[in-house]
Amino acid sequence: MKYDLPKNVRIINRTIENDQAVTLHLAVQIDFAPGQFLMIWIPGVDEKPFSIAGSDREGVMITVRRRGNFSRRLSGLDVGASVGVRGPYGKAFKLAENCCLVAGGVGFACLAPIADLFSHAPIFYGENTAKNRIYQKRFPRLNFYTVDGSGGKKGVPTDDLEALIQQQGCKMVYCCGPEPLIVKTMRISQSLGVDCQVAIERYMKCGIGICGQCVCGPTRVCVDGPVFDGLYLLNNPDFGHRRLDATGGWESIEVIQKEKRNHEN
Amino acid sequence: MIKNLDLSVELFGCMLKNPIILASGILGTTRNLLRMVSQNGAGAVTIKSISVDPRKGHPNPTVLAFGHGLINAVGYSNPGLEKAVQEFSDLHEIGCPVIGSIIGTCVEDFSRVAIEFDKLEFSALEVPLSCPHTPEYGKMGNQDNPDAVFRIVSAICSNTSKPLLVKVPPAANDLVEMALAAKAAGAYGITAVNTVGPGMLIDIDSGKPYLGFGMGGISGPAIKPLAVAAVFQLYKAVDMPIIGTGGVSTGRDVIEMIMAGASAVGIGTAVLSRGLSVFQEITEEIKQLLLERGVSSIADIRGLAHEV
Ligand SMILES: Cc1cc2nc3c(=O)[nH]c(=O)nc-3n(C[C@H](O)[C@H](O)[C@H](O)COP(=O)(O)OP(=O)(O)OC[C@H]3O[C@@H](n4cnc5c(N)ncnc54)[C@H](O)[C@@H]3O)c2cc1C
Ligand SMILES: Cc1cc2nc3c(=O)[nH]c(=O)nc-3n(C[C@H](O)[C@H](O)[C@H](O)COP(=O)(O)O)c2cc1C
Ligand code: FES
Repeated sequence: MKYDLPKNVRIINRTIENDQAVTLHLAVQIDFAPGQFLMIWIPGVDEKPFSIAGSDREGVMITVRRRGNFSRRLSGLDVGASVGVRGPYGKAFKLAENCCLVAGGVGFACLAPIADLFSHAPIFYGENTAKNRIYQKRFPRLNFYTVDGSGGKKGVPTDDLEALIQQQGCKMVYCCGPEPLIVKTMRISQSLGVDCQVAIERYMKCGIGICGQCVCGPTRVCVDGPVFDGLYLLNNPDFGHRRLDATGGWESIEVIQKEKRNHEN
Repeated sequence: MIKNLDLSVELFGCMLKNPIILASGILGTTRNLLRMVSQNGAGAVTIKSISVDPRKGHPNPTVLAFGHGLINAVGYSNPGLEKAVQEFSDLHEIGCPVIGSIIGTCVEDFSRVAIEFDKLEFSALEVPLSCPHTPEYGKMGNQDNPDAVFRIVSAICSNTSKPLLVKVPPAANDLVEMALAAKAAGAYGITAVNTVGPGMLIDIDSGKPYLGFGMGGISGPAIKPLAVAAVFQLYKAVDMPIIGTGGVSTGRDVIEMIMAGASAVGIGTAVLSRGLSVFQEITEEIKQLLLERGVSSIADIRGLAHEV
């Protein structure tokens, strides 16, 4: 179904993660690899990309955090409702078992299939505040950080990364989250000579490499990413700096981060 | 790689290293992407169309593959003239000629964009007048008729000395009249064709059209026969260079377009089916096909299908 029209699938389960996020189980078998995403369509509303956050015999899961109109509508859908699905799209993570995971916010969804696969891998996961935590039941044991100190350790998930890599000799760091967190993770990995793969976000329209909306430097995130080699991204002129908005004009990533914080407060 | 066979063509006063041009609206959002396409072997590239004011375009889904090509209703999303002028500066760094695409809802809009684009390093400009799915533009703005073509082209040409390509729809009754009007008003050439439409596909499970806007334009293999016929008709009736666009995805398709009368070809949807390597690969395919036929230059087969 890779390049097909969206296929209608039913929501068979809905897990409330917290007052901002839900995990939806979709009744569709998809042959995916960790890091890939789906385009999710609500007919008559919009269509946006969501990471495949896991799978079981009944289908695949996505985790949706409420931000604007579309994520509000999607996260509000009940069991029995349908959404359109196309994918899986994008490049996946290259898998290495001796790894650790660094997740920020709903970026955890993208890394969750790796955590399922390598259940012993250490996870560093951070949120601005404790009430935003997702996957409490699914991943109860992990290193949790909050910026405001309301849960876990006060700080960000990269705080203990260096020490852990040195202690345990991890060979690979996987990261997904806000771009400043990704940059920090990449720099730490680089300084320790450890491989690092990261998944990034850009505004997507087609998801199939045609419209040029998701560009990051010379790459299209929908087909060349969303997973990139950390070292490559450090040299990408747009990464960590800017992305295209819906019109195709540049907006600065720093501005996006600020807006997001205001939105959450 | 096959050497000794020169595919270069002269178009709008430039030498293109090959006749393969990236069509407007595919990957033409930023200079980095244009450069990427150029590095992948395109002979020239076209930017995504620019209007005076920024446009968000239609809601998603905006571009969908349906088995015979694409159906799209992007809705001319673009950052507007001011930001476009910043983005598309220093175009000599792209590595091949760049065509600037202009859209507008009234004659003044076209002029305003033309005045600013005239100052940039575009090798040529292009004006699509037949988009089938954007209110106030193209078909929905009543721009796809000889009168409107004449007015818009005259306005642009009085504001720029750059060669202008007019992009036309296929299967229109007054296709030739539109091209003649374009020529009379000072246009340099014709890009044939734009997407075909409006078209629509409905999801029978939800009962809703797939595209956010409902209707859209069709491109890719599904429209190739329409595009070839348009090029054939235009070549016969109007003495202007034609960029044959619509469903071209192989070297054979390119030869077909050139035999119909095209001077160069545009490639859009084939970027999906064949990836960015499509430009390099098609160039090699053309060389092979010419070699097999003992033809030494593209000019030798241009318009061949018209010979009696
Ligand atoms: C490959 C990929 C995978 C994704 N996976 C997931 C996922 O698993 N779960 C999930 O919830 N979302 C995911 N997203 C984001 C998702 O596609 C939507 O962009 C998001 O739900 C916001 O859409 P909206 O229409 O609700 O909000 P909008 O109306 O687009 O935005 C509302 C507010 O949120 C801000 N905002 C929007 N997007 C971001 C962002 N990326 N970072 C920071 N601030 C932002 C906006 O600036 C605005 O202030 C993914 C995106 C990509 C590209
Ligand atoms: C997603 C998409 C966006 C397009 N946007 C534009 C545009 O902004 N301006 C334009 O003149 N043509 C646009 N077109 C039309 C193409 O330039 C081209 O004429 C058409 O797709 C036929 O060629 P193809 O079959 O090789 O794709 C667009 C086509 C597609 C598929
Ligand atoms: S979303 Fe269209 S090119 Fe990536």
